[in-house]
Amino acid sequence: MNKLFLVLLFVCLAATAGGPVEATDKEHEILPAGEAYQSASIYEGGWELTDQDGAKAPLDIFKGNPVVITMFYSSCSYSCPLLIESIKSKIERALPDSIRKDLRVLLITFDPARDTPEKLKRLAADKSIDLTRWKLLTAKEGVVRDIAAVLGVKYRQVPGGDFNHSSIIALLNADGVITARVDGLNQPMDPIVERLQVRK
Amino acid sequence: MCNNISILTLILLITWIVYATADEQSQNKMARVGPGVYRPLYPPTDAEKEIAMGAFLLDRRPVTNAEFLTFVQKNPKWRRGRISRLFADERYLSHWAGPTGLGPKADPEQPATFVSWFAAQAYCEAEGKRLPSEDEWELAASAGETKPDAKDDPAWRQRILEWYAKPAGGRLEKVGAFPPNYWGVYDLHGLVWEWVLDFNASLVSGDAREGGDAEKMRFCGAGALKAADKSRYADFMRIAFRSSLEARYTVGHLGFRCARDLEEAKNE
Repeated sequence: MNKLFLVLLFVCLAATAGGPVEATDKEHEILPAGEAYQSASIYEGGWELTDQDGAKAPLDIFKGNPVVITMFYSSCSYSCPLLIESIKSKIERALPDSIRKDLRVLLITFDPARDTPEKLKRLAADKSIDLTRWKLLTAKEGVVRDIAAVLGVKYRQVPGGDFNHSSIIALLNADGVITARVDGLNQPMDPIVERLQVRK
Repeated sequence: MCNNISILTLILLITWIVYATADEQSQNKMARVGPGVYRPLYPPTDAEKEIAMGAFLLDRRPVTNAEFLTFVQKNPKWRRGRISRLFADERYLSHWAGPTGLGPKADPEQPATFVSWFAAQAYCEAEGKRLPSEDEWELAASAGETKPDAKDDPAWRQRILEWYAKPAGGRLEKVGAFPPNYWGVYDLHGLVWEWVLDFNASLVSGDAREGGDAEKMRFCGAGALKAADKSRYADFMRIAFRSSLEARYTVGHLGFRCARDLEEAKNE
């Protein structure tokens, strides 16, 4: 036990010792959900995607509306169904009609190789997704990586084709700026719901 | 008529020579790394304890201030002051005297630092290259001076840890100041941390108390990540560092270099 303690102590000391520490500055800590994540609109990326109908869909397709945005893939058996369900039950159903009708939802896939528009369309039908307000999007690998980067989503593909990924739901204001962000499936969606209700 | 054909031939010949020489130079700037077997410290799945990798090209040196300056001169939207806050934080190129001037605090031959992942990607793409993947970078970085895989050499591991333990504050060395490794690649250790393409693939929780279900709730499929070899502290530190990054961050000891598939280079 003593040896383990000394080893851990060494690692901690080494980690606090200098240059490499710069990335752990207070300024760079992830802000708690509910505060602005960053000041720029993610629409500045100009990224082009394709929706479940095979139509071209720029990322800013819902500009002018508040947007709930997250990443998923349709072969995901555990967290992605929960993500979709969380959006429906913890966000949409928590809102009054007057606010819900303006809310849009973007679901972007990690898995462009397998999540064709047809597959996305079938998933939308399976999950009774309201395609007048939701879009399921696919894009080239590089675009998926860039979008994950701006949302702060972590992901990796594993042998067999599945993805390990973090579960992040973000709220964009009408300009595409992230104004709330929830990390994890078992988190309350209050930061997003409250931010939406404040607008009116 | 003959004269025109001769001139045209001469022009074509010169163009071809310039192109071939430029390409050769760009080949000399890159080293062929691999093939080899990379053993991740945190194999995400049992199937990934040993990753067989083919050969690829990697920049011999990190990208320098001088090279990055040339890039922003040609690509104004990546200049300090013009770059979107989406793509870089407020410290972007803050060590330079101006948006297109290095100044006394940024030697041309020092590695370019205070660059975000987006800016690094843009630079590599402008060169017809890309950032290396974490696996590629780590494979290259496993090499010692005489062996492709020095991970079992305690003296080699110790030298790297000594660098990590050094307090920051000293002036950054110029690139290529120390001998290259087995592959002919310089400065993978001892100079700056480096961006990789999939820096956001490290699904390591920042909170050591998380585990089991909590981690399942944050990271779909993560399970329990167990370090393969507890003596590989340096690997751990690099993974922890990468996990702490966001794509727009710019850091004083974080630079980058570019990579390229071997096939693409052959097809040129």
